[in-house]
Amino acid sequence: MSPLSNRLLVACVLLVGCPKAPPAPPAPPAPPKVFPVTPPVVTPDDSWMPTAPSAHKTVASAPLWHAHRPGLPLVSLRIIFPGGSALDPVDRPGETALSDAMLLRGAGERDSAAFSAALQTEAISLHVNTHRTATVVSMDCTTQALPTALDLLADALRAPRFASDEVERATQQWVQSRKDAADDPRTVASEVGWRVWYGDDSPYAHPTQGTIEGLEATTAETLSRSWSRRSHPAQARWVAVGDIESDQLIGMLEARFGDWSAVETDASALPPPPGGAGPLATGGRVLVDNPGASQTVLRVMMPAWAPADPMRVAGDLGVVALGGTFTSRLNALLREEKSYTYGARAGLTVGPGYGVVIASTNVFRDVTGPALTDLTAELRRIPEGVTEDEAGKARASRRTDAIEVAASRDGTADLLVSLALSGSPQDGQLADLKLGARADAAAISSAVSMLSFDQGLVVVVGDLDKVEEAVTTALPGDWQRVNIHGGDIPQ
Amino acid sequence: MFPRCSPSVPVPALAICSAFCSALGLALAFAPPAAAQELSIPYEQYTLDNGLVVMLHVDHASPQVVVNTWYDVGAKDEEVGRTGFAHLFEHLMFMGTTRLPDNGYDVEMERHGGWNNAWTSEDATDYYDVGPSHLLELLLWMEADRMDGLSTAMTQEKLDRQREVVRNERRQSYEDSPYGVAWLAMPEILYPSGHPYAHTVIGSHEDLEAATVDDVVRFFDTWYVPANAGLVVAGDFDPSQARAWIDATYGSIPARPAPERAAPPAAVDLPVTPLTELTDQVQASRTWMLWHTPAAFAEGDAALDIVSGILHSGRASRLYGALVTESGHATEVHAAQYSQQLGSIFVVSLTPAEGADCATVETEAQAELTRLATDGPTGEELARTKAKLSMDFLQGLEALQTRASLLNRYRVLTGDPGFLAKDLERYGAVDAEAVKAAAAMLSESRRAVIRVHPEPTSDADADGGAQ
Repeated sequence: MSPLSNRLLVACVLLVGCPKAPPAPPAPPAPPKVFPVTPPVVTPDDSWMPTAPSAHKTVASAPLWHAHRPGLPLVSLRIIFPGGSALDPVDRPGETALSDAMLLRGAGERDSAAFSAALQTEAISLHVNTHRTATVVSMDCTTQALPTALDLLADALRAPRFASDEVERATQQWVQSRKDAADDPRTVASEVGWRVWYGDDSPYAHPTQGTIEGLEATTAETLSRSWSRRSHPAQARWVAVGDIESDQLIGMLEARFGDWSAVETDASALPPPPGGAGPLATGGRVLVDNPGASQTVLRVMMPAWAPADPMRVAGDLGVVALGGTFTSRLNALLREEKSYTYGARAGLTVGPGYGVVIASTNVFRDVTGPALTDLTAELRRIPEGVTEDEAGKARASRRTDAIEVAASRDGTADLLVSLALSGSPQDGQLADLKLGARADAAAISSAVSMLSFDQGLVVVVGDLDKVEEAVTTALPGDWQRVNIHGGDIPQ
Repeated sequence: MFPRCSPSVPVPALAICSAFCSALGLALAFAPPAAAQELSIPYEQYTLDNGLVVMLHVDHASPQVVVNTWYDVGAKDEEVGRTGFAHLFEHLMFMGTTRLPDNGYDVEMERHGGWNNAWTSEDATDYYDVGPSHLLELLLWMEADRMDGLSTAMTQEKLDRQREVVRNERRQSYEDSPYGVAWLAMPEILYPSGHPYAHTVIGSHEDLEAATVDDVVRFFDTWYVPANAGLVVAGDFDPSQARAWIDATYGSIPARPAPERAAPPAAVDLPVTPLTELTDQVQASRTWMLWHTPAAFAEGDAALDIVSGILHSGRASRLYGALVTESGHATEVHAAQYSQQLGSIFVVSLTPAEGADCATVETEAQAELTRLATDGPTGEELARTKAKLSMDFLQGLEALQTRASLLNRYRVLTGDPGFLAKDLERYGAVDAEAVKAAAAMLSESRRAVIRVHPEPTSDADADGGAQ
């Protein structure tokens, strides 16, 4: 008999066996509850720390970072190939990314549709993202489907078809996508910003997705060759997070990739990206005309800390205080106090050998001048330092970020990818958290003192007829003017 | 769904609902058999004397907690001349109370590592707070505090500031967002004047400017009452301790009458305007084909989710195969069932390739819909669409925040927070005949079409077509 049945039986016996009890006197009315006037005091508990993944060797002795996550029967796998859009030929910007995309558009015995159907049948998610310095292949699937998923992955990486009709179709879609990107003022601000930041001649300057002219200049042969030159198993890095043991996974990888060897000379070596400020980042000012726009995009890029810079962690906390949370300086001023915008934010972007603080907001056209004045003032003020309150908030925010990432399988996988891409060790997050926990306002202030608005690049995308005068009055300087649909930047 | 803080990408009016459902894994079929049997969101539920429904979902896997508060009020409940008000009110909920004035809500939360956001849809308004476990008592106090007395601290100055923030949200998410004009036009094209869905969630500038402090107080008094809300606490906490904290805070909020609701309008079968042509600052034309479909969780709703997958998911899908691969007349295809409380919308969007026009791709897409309604899906199509949906579901359930919101959504829309297993069953039960019946709803005679063309330039005519 179940415990519940036992309790019911006892209750029945008691009901039958007991004489009827005299009626209880009516209970006095409960006093009305009073809402606690002050908020409760929070007692912090900072005992949690993330667990670093274990390090192994796998295919062609390439490194594998592995985090075992039993629970939901899911696995996330990431493979990083060095290279990226910085390898694009000068006349074919976008070739690397389009070549990467073709890996999933027909491989092995399957054409594009059959390959897509095979993935879907087993509920396998397989994507390729091209960065400036690397290609990242991402696969998520159930543990049960992992063998099939790895078979398909092996086809994609080792036997992509690059069929000419599919290349033509993909090119047409990508050209359309580039047109769509040019219609979006925020994307335009970002792409123009990076282009000026690096300088036109830099292999890092163009959008990773390429240009319309560059995409149209690619062929099935150039795309195939692009992948052959980058698909070097010994240069790859692997990341796995989920419901599988490392030994089991390595065995599965070896079975499918153990005899994989490169067919072309490794061409993944990149020219070093400009460290710190790009060639034109010293006080660059760019105006992009977006006729009819009701808002103006303001975007500022300032040279900051590279991943290996000892000040990076403290500096990042300073950037959180500047624009990383809802109550941070930029959002508090431009949105909550002045109502110029729906939101304003800032963040630190790092890559191999460089770091950039990017602040951005979209403001109502009619307040472009005052908004730019206020944004400029805040960015000029941040090198003066942060308060203890701001420092504490930034530390707590980063700590919560870490807890949330650790709770997420694919979030952890993506974090490990970002560590690998920036050249950090697999326990980089743990090291950052420990370092960050010790960073007080003085340490953070010391780090952010190196930020310089005047060394930074300002990009404004708006209706020049309506905002140009306000912009140049709010921030006098040598402004370059650009057409939103790709007009050349005057040098 | 309109988030309080700026999203990373603009979110169209109806798409927001879908994005939410997709994130939650609602648009799913059934999980793999073994996993499906185990999938559930354990919770305990009770109701306070003031009518607030409380659900506790304990998960000690990670030292974090989520507090999700769902108010059963959305844009459909707005008064005439006050479009956008439910969403504007959502913003005002963060503007401080007598006990915690000004921006204290955000400041206190962030000081200890918490963060929050909220969204408003046609049907509901949902607030969520996320933070480390030790923050739970504060999160509960702050949420209860504003449920108790937000309106008493409302001022003209607060209203004016958030009104301008929301108007900037409208500019950013629609007016300056490519093809945003289509989403702004959609409600009036689909619904007759006076229907609760006949206006956008974001509202018009004119109506936003007309909102008053009296409106705010009345809206709060009417809709933001404990009996019209659901509270979910999820994550790493002691349920008996949480009960005590909830009792001390929410338990002291006086009961107020639950809002009286008008009878739901009759289901709308046909759109108001069959064809609408618009222009925007874009380089290529795009077309949207729209149909009225059954409400969320009604018969046919799950089948239409499956139909959307068969039509557009992957390069083996029907629309992709016919319009992108075979004819080459489109570069992008998309389909989705946007499930809503009073009646849903099915949307197919198509981007004509260079040299093709909107009418051509609409004709080809309609032919595919007819073929699906006549012949039905293949067994393989049905199986792989369900497999993908089930994976989406499984992945969605990983996130604590998703589970918290899902309990509230199921409670409001089905009356059962534990509806997860039944939800899986309803997708699992969709067969070929159900798909045919669902696809048959998507007929040419029942549809509306919105075409958006590039704005004419000085050297081009205004007729549009693919450029």
